[in-house]
Amino acid sequence: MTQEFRTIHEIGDALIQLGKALKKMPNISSDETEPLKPKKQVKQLLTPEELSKFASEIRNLSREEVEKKLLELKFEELKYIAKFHKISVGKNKNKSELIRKVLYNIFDYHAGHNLLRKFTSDTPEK
Amino acid sequence: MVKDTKVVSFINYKGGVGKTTLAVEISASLAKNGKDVLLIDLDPQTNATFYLMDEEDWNDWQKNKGSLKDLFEAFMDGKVFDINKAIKKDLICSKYIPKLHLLPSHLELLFIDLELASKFGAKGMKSKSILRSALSKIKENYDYIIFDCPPNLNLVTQNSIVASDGIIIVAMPEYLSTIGIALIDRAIKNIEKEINDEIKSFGVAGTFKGPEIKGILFNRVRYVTGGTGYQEEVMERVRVDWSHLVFNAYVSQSDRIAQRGEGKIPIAISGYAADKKYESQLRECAEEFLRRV
Repeated sequence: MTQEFRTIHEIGDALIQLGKALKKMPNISSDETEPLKPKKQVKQLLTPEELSKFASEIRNLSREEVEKKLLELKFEELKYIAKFHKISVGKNKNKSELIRKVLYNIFDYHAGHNLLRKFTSDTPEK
Repeated sequence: MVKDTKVVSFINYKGGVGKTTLAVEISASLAKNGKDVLLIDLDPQTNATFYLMDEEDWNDWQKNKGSLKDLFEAFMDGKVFDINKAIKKDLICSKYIPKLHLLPSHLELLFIDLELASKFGAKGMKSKSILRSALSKIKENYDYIIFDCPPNLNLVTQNSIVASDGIIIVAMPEYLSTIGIALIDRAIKNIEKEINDEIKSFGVAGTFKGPEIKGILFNRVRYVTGGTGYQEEVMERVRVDWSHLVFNAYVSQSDRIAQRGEGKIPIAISGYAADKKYESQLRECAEEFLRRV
């Protein structure tokens, strides 16, 4: 093998190694001609402004309306609503548990509280 | 100068929230700041009593001078009771805060509720206005009269409600403790209605106005400021319903405060460096108490 050929051979090896390394990198196509796959678009149901507005006005809505909207939200959006109202989120990423907590803190706790404040036992007079 | 005496009950239906600790410590703080304070221990558990007296001293005192139990018994027997005689003015902490006085409780106060109910009935003014009537003789001696109430709304506690100008609800930042807030609010309204119905039935002019809830004070708080842990979640719920009543000050969970009862020197006046954080929190609570009551 001539010196020239050996150098080309080494360059080729290096290019092969580089190609292998590039294939392992994210968003790099193994085929030069293959276009990069676009990043998976996360579907946002509410814009940040809409989410903030919903969070601040949530107490003015009915429990049913709020529950319906909460079921449509993604976990991160639910977390935002919870933190806005100082509701503990915890480490468990359970969407239905977080929805229960939000509904409890915004509606159910206060309904129970008011029931007790106004409770009377309606005993009919003898 | 005539004192504008304020009578305040420290209440919660739920036991173990720290009513006694805060009633004693805020009383001590007020006395340290020059106020004449009478602390009345309404709880048959006698915790406020033993926070400030030792057992032997209490035993001698209740035999020779009397206690809250004797006040109720005298009333039921139609006898005169000298409440001044039963008020202990030389407590162990009196060398630091001579202006704090104590009307001790008694272990057998537990039975008084049943006796009052059987003699006068559970409803109506007679069984509920005993303390109000007794205090009228000594009120002028004090800036503040503070009741440490038991964790119930029985007749003895209802006596303190009828005697009080204001209520402080002590709560822990946990769900069961906050149920008591709604129940106390309801109880005050019910007592007011009951008494006014009775007044009306006698054809007497005038109405009875029950005490106002002056504040909700959180005790044994652990959460870190700014966090969204469970305790802060509970405190936020209460703020939504009672925003203007929730104290800005609060008291942290502390073994140091719990230990104070043994030494008979309230942490509010202990002067120990290790107590400083809690002394400061209690001072803030007392200052806010003064603004609210």
